[in-house]
Amino acid sequence: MTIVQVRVDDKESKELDELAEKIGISKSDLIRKMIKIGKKQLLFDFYYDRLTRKEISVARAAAAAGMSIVEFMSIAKERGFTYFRYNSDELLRDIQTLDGKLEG
Amino acid sequence: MNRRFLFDASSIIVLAETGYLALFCDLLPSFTTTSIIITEVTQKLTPIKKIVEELTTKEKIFVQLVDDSSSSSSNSLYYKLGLHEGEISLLLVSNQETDIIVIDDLIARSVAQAEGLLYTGLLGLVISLKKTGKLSQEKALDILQAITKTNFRMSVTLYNAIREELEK
Repeated sequence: MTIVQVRVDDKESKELDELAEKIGISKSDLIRKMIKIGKKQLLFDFYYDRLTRKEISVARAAAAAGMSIVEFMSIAKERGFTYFRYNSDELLRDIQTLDGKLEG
Repeated sequence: MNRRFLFDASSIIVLAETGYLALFCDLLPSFTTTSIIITEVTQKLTPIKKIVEELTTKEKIFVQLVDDSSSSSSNSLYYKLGLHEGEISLLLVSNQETDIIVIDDLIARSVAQAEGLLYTGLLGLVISLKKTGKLSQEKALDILQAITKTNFRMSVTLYNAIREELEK
């Protein structure tokens, strides 16, 4: 393990002490837990932003954020993300592509 | 050579979540995906994993083995364009003459287009299956409704356009 020193203000430190006591874990364990949760959230935010800017695909965003596509899409939906992002012209193009190709 | 329909991970997940994955396997000449996509879809212990594994075991979903290294290289142009290994594997195995990639992701669709590959979206596929009589109007509308209940959203405008096509 590596030791990482972070300065926090007195009020925040006291709040961390109180929360650790409430949950029944040490302050160090609490901070480790918070880093883990925060890291997941920040990774999601970062790759979700790239996804909405059309820089990466959903599958790539999910993998980069360390999530499955199902997990990633569940959070993305809550944020209002529209997966099927093409318009009705594209839809008609798709239908034309399939014309005569579904037999057999 | 038989026509194959190459499905990406999201399309498989959407169909599995709606409960219509097995139906699509039966309706299409060859429901195919790659080994990389199967790994993507079955990586976590979920109901989807069970459904997909059952269909691959029964050979309802055909799995084309793909060497991981061919699609995972960070130097790959496709990777630089923002695609994931699974999508890259689909583009690499697709035969320009016979295969149709089923993909809804915007980036993957533009790459497929630039490569001259045939592609369609899942929603267009539902409409076309209804048009050819492989799906009844009622069933196609049920599928549309079921898709709207998944985590994969569509705009109201697109939903209305699909309904209009299905009600023709």
